[in-house]
Amino acid sequence: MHKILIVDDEPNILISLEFLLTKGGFNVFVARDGAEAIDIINEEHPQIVVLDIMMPNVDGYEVCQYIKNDDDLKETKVVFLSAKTKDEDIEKGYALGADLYLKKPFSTRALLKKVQEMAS
Amino acid sequence: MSPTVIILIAIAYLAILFGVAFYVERRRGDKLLSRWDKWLYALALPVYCTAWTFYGSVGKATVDGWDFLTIYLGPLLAMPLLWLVVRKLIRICQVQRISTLPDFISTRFDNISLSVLTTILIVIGIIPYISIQLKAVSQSFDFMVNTGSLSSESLQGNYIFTDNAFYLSIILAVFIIFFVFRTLETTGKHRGLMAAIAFDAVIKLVAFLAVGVFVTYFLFDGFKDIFEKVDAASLTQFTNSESIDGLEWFLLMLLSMSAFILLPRQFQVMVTENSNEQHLKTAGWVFPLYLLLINLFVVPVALGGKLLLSSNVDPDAYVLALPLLNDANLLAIVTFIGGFSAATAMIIVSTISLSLMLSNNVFLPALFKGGKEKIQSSVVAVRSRKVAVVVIMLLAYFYYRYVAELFPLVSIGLISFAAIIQFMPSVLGALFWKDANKYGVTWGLIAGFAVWFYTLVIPTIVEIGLLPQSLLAEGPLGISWLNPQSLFGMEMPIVAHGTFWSLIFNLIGYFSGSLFMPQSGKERNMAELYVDIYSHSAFSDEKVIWKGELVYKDLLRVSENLLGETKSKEALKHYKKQFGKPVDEHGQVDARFVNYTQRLLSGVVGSVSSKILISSLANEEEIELKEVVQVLKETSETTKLNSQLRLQSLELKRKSQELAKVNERLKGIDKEKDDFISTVTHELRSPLTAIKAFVEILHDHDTTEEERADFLKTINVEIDRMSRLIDQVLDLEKLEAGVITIAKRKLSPLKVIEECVTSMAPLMKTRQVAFHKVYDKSLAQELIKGDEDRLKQAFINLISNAVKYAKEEEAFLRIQALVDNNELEITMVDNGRGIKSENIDRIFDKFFQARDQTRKKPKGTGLGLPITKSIVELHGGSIQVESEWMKGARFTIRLPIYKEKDVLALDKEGENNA
Repeated sequence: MHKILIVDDEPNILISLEFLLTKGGFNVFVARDGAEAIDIINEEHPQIVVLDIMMPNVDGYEVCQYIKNDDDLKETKVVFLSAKTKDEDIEKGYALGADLYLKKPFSTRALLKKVQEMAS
Repeated sequence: MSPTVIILIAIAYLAILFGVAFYVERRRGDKLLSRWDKWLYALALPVYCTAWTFYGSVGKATVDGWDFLTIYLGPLLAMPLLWLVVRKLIRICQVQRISTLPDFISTRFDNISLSVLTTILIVIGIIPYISIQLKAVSQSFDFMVNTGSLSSESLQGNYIFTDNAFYLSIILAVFIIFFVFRTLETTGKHRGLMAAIAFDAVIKLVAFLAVGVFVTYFLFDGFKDIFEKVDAASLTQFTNSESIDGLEWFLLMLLSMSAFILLPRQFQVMVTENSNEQHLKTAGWVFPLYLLLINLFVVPVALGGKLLLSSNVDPDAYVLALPLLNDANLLAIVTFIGGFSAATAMIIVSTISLSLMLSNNVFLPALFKGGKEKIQSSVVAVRSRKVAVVVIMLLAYFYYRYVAELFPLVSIGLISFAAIIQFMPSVLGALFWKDANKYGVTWGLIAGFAVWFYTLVIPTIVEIGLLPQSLLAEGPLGISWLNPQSLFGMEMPIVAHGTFWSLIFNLIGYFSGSLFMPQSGKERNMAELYVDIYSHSAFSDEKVIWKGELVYKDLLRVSENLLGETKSKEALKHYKKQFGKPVDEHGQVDARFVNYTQRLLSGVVGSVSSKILISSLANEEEIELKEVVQVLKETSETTKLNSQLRLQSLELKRKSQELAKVNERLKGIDKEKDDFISTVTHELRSPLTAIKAFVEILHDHDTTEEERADFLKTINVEIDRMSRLIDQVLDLEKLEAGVITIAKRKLSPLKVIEECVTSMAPLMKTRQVAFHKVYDKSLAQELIKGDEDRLKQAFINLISNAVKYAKEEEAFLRIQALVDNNELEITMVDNGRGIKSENIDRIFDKFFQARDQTRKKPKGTGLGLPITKSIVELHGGSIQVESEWMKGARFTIRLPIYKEKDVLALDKEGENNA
């Protein structure tokens, strides 16, 4: 089973995504901020990390940077899920090496489809 | 001594004197020489000390004792007035281009006939004074020739052509005509003349000191020796202090004080020839020192003469007789030159001044009145001045020849002084009293001079036998209180007596005219300029009001006639430079240009003549008093504006800097707005995302009953959150924009607080927050004014924050309400999480939510505190916070208390309105 990590500071978003991705056949981990996310990434090496950007302390961009700079995590794919919808924010996300950038509110169907594609 | 030798010596001295003048004048541009100006100025002031001083002081001391000192004490007392009075005179004359006293008076009082009157009075007063200088010279000459022969009268030349004084008059007139009046400008500084006068001053001082030293140390053994011998001979006039009469001394000092400033020769050197007001400072100590030195030996010489010379030697001749009769011939010659120099200096300067007056105020106005252009020229102006010199010299000579012979030296000098003091009220009024007017001045002068003539001139005429002796013995027609020497029965020495009564009548006329007669607009205008000269100096052309029509070409023609083409063009250039405004060469000229030109012409022909010239060309209008007041007000405002210009440009710079700052801030506000909007949308996207996700899950996936209920509940929570956020954003926007009006009703703060607490009580109970209250007893009676719902919103925000961030155990909230004077202070203290010190400044910022290290999602919208703050401030209050992380927070709200008396006032207002 593919490991997927969901990182968001909004508890209800975490709950909904956890439900959705579990249903979609993933082994789901959740984190409420960047620091917690990095701990889990180091421990679990998830194939996919779904990242919010605006989070306290360590933000999503930093987590993405961390992943992309770590040789052990070359296979890890990063999906941004963000309320930051400006073009420059999106460009910054891709420039940091993200595989996908989805604007909130997103379609759960599209998300599920994309991460399933990434996992296979 | 041979007369030829003495004549040659006199001529040689004059040659040296004129040589000095020519030498200095030729080196006009020499900068090195201009450093000497202040010394020349200071040493020109002793022109005050004439031959009368040189010979007469000793004479007067011999006869009257210490009284001779009054003539010098007056000027000494005038020294402090130099800066106050003379400086102001100098400034006014400089600005208005005035060169004589009649000019000064007639310009101020705007009256042409006044200038004629003053000129005539001054000439009458001063001619005898010039003539006694001629008398002094001729007497001393005779005395030298006859080596102490005692009768001066018998040796007088019997014919004019054998009279030395006649030739002296001619030589001095020629000097003035060809040297001083060579140039056209009368207000221009004559440094050569000043040098000659200063040279004279040094010569007469040295000569007198030489005689003094000779008498004191060669004929006697010092001061002590003389005084001892005087005591032995019981000559007591210097040891008997009873001879000093207080009132008499006061009057004599007043006399000499005003003479020192207003005598034509003094006015000429001190005011007209002054090139720098600062020179007064040098003069302020040099002149007193000079007076001290020249008076040092007066008493010893007088006593020496009395002791050594026979009683039939004229005391006026002691100075010359003492060396002559002791065979000190060289010293006698030096002394003679000293007296001669004192006389020439006085004659030269007085004649210059009087001839200017006569020419500018009498001759030229009469010539110019016809308006004939041929006559209005510089040639005529110069010629008239030269004629005036000759007229003055002739008057002085013939007075000397046929009248002065009959009088003693000293009395004529003092009578002249008494004539000059008549101008003192007019001059002081011109300088310091804006309400003085031409009626006052005219009446005062006429009354003063009439009494002067009656009390001082008539007795001398009686003395020489032209009027019956009975006039002095019994009074006119036997009326004793009209006796010229004891008017109204007053017994005093003749000069003091005459001075006293002439001044009294002068002042009566002066004040009654000034107080009871109206002042003309033009006069008022000049009064303002004179009295406030220091603030008007630079702008005088704008402040002299002139109304009329005058074509530029006419004015130019006159100024070219009088000034010459070159000078007139230069002046025009200067005018353009000064005012930055070209003149319309084909049209009319404005008042400013007229004034400017008139001032220029005044420098050449005097103010009266220039005024006549202008009015002969123009269609002048009368100026109303109120116009003057108005225009002066405006121009003084303009001046103020001008002087403020620099300040304003500084201000402008500051303002533009401020503007730049404001701009920056506005940009900041723009950015803040952007940030706010993006924050709001971001905050809205989060609940929206959750809602959308749950809705899609419910739609796409099979869920248990329990899950479905759970998800729907979450959706509901998120929808509430969204709508709350939207409400608060709109609320805050309205509050901040000041769009919403707060209903201001009288409220009981106690009731408002209690209701908030009641509504929050259930929540506090659930979260186990203990509640305490501490209210002032008086709180129940106090009122505040405001919007109940809004205030509740603010308080509930704070209470719910306290509950939201409360500790899990032993949490409490304490509300204190204190009444302090006009303020209600509500404090909410909790022991909850508190605020970190780095965040405390931003706690009232929108969307600032202190995100803590724990991973809990903040619970509010981030708008509660900003809204609370806005509400409190809209009620005229303030809110502050103190907090320590994890130890709780203390919010303090201050609101103004509504006073009952205000209510009463309001009610009353209501009644009135009803």
